[in-house]
Amino acid sequence: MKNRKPIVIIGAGPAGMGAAIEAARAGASCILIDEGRFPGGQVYRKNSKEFQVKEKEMLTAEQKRGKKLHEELEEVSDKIKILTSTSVLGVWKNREVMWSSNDASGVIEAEQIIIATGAYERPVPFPGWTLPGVMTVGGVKSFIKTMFIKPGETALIAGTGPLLISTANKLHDIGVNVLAVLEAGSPSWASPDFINQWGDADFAHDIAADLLELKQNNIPILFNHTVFKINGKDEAESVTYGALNPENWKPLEDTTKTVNADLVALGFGFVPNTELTELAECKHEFYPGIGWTVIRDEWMQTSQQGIFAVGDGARISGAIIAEEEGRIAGIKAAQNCEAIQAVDAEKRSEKYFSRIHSFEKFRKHLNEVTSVKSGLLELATHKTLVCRCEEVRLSDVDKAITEGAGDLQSVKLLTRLGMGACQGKNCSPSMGMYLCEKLNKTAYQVGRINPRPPVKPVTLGALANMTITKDSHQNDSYDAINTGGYYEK
Amino acid sequence: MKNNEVIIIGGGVIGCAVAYYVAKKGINVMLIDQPKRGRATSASAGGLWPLGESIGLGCGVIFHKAMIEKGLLPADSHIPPQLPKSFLDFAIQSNEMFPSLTGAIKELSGIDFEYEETSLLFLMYDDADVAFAKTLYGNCPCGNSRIDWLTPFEVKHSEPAITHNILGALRFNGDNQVNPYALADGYREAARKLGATIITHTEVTGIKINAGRVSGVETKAGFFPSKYVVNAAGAWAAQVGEMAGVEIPVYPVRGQIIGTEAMPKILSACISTNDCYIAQKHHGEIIIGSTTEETGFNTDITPSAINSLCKGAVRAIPFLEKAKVKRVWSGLRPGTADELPILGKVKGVEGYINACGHFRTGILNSPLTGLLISEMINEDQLSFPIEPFLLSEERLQSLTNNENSNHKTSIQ
Amino acid sequence: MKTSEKDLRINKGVIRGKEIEIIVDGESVKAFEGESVAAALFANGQRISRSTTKENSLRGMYCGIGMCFECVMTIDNIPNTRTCQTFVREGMFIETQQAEGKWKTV
Ligand SMILES: Cc1cc2nc3c(=O)[nH]c(=O)nc-3n(C[C@H](O)[C@H](O)[C@H](O)COP(=O)(O)OP(=O)(O)OC[C@H]3O[C@@H](n4cnc5c(N)ncnc54)[C@H](O)[C@@H]3O)c2cc1C
Ligand SMILES: Cc1cc2nc3c(=O)[nH]c(=O)nc-3n(C[C@H](O)[C@H](O)[C@H](O)COP(=O)(O)OP(=O)(O)OC[C@H]3O[C@@H](n4cnc5c(N)ncnc54)[C@H](O)[C@@H]3O)c2cc1C
Ligand code: FES
Repeated sequence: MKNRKPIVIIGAGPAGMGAAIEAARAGASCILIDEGRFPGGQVYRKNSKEFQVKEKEMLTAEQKRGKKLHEELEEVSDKIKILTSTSVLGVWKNREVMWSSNDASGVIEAEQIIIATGAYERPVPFPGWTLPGVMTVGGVKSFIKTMFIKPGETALIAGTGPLLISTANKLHDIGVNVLAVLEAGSPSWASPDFINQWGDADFAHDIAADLLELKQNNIPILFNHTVFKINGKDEAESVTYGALNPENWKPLEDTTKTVNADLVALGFGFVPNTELTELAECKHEFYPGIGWTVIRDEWMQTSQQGIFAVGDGARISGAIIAEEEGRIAGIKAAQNCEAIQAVDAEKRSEKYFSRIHSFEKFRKHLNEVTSVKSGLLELATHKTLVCRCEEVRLSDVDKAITEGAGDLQSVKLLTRLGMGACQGKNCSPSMGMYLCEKLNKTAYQVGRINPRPPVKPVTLGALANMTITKDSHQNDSYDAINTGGYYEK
Repeated sequence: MKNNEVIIIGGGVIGCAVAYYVAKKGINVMLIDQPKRGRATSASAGGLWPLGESIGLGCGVIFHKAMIEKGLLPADSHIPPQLPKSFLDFAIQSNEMFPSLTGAIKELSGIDFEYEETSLLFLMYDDADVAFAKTLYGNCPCGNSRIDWLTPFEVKHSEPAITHNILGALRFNGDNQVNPYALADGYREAARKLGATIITHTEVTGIKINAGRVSGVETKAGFFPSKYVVNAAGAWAAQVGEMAGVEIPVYPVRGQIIGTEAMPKILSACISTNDCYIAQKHHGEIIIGSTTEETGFNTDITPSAINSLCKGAVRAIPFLEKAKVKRVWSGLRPGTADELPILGKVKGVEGYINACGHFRTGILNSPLTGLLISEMINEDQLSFPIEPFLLSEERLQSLTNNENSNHKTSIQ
Repeated sequence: MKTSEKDLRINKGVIRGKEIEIIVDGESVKAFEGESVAAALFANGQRISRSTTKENSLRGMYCGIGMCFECVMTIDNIPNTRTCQTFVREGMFIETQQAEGKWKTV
């Protein structure tokens, strides 16, 4: 065991925390890295240290799970090096991990890598979606949770999936006037029948509770509806919405209404953040309804030896499954480091596997009914910006197609689509789908926009100040990093 | 289908330039390209530095310093080798084609390839750099009419962002820059407008030869007949040559390169130092290049290269310390051991023509390469003597025998 | 200039960090330690972070998780700083960013 290189876990959301907890419990040396100031990821992100938050007497199920996970991590925190405010810039298939923090950077050679970088909200371009006051639902929800600030006065929420509902309730709680929730999908997933069918799945319970609360809050939910257009000069002022064809989600133009709202929260499901698994040259496949996902075996191992992928960054399955996947990977990685035996690994992971199985069907159904359908693409007009960073309009993409571009990469070369700061995250999911539809091609033919290191912003100064660490015991370059002192006792 | 006179294999800057000049002569031409990982044109910095490159600046001086550090060259050999006069003359003549090319391409294709008259500055950090600069200043093959010796004060005045910790700089007038992707796009679109057929995403898998004469190419999309085949396959030229039974001593030479976020105009000249070169592009990003590595067709980015390029950039332009890196990428230069391109016909295979081996200067040398190939096919008088660049038997021998050019074996 | 009367902070259930002052486009603005820059500005009613290079169109915080770069502003003379990921500090100097922003080059 001595002088082993560490297990490096990238992302401290439920998936990464689960992995770190299990790897540490198994006695492996590990490093948990997150760009955020504190662990927790998107769901269980902790409040700023500077804030004193009075805990509610009645915690929601989600809050309880978060609290428990944080406690478990804290218990083993002396066995884990937790690097917060630290970004991973790149991962190589030889298991080098390049990081940066403030004005320094470095390379850690890892024995095993667990990539747990989460997901981001699926972009759906339509007129006015770039106006200030238009945000993602997840962004709105975590903003309120962590900052205790109203992001607007009157809100309309649109998209698909359960996060719309919990966000609507959250906004209502803090005194924002929530006009309605517009669910693009059909009522099936929100019906009691559907939910009851899944019996005791925690996640189904959460949804049922949220729906009940929505009703109590008197917030209407319109199914097969969505936002068509957001109007406003400098910021969002009003919203034009309407009905969708339930089959293909094509907008039905003669159904529109306009209401005043200064906050529009959009959430059309999630896209896995695959940039690190792509950089590590792991094999990926196109998973309809989700997008490009990394291929894994049952132990969450990718096609690259010693590299795991877990949580929503691998496949959109929600916080509960993310955590269990993380735990399984943590155990297996510890076994690969010879911290525990194979039989022990089997034993430790048994209950996590079975929990995943018990959720799988429900999650699959939910993904099916809430996955974006191609009719939504018709919301964008010629003038709509499809690449927010480089300000590429749909008409520019059409022109590139006329000039012979048949895949995302060629569109990129002709239009700069995807060449901006977000590295194509906010345009390639929708434009990939657009090219498939328009050219009648498969996602494989249309391809992807390849990520390039660094995947997070970093200064030249930090990269000029780089240390390369060969093993965790020698001259720890990352000792210098401010770890946020979150678990300092 | 109309019968192609000429098929060009490879759609990088060279293939596109050849397509443009050949189409301009009214000849039926088809370009076939399969975009491969590491293709050089889309990785390039877009410097047009005929003087700088021929006397060993740009990548040359960086490479040279790295070789000394690795102990592969003696420590006192601080002067990178200069390329022969024929190369400089070729590069200067090609460079002089850009101003008029800008208008011609724009008119035909609507594409502006962002030609910009910048000049190139070589920064002198220490006495060794000064000694090197002195030899350049004294012995430049073109005389020093195009070179200015700048004092630190003059540098500060014209480029305030550059470090004040320098002993001076050499300015090479006439060394300029373009946007390399836009240049290739411009050639290609202009060629299309002139009637060329462009086939993208199609790999050439064979060259058909009948009784010692090229008769067409095999591709994944079928067979295309033609009288001439131009090998413009960049770092893959050896593989394409082999399809015609011709040995082409071209090997991939990796260059890693960094681009920053877009910034307001802060540099008016391109900069060359002994650790990197720096150029601000039209769009505002600053490009920092580049390594010279023989790692076969591997296109990985390495932390140590990123580190050394960033160090070099921050040293030259201190405020870049706070600028963010947007991307790091790499490309494969089509390398040759004598650092000269390989152009023209070969003995034994009628109709086969080389346009490869452009190494560090394919962007710069693309117009004259295209023009010469078109003249060759049209049987016109050549605008530049091609002999030094032909793959004669002697040259082939010296390229393949040269002990430090046993490159094929170094491919991983 | 932005001296809005607004304060969209919710004070139920939370005691914020120390009150501090930040400078936004030349005006002093109230903020609390532990807030992100974007949060402090939102609380003050300012949701516009920047205007774009090509079309001069206005943008503000969109993803809230550091992914989209819409919330970037010039902070302490460094353009393109993500305000949703940057936390306030006493005296922090924040400017609405136009296009690629202004750099202090020397
Ligand atoms: C904004 C947002 C809000 C959400 N809110 C909810 C919610 O309220 N309820 C719910 O059930 N689901 C929510 N989701 C879905 C939720 O993300 C998942 O179900 C769950 O958090 C997945 O856990 P994870 O560990 O896979 O990823 P995450 O929780 O997303 O954690 C990934 C972590 O990786 C870090 N990271 C990513 N890349 C790097 C890098 N290169 N370097 C360093 N660190 C990196 C991130 O900072 C993040 O902390 C939300 C999603 C988003 C995007
Ligand atoms: C980092 C870097 C910086 C550089 N900076 C400069 C600079 O500042 N100035 C300058 O003048 N030069 C520079 N260069 C050099 C310049 O980029 C090259 O010399 C030039 O791009 C070579 O062009 P090419 O068309 O020969 O090759 P490529 O651009 O590589 O094009 C060859 C094409 O052929 C295709 N191909 C290969 N095999 C086949 C096949 N069998 N069938 C179909 N297609 C095939 C390839 O995929 C590719 O698209 C730089 C290079 C690098 C890597
Ligand atoms: S809002 Fe997306 S990066 Fe800050």
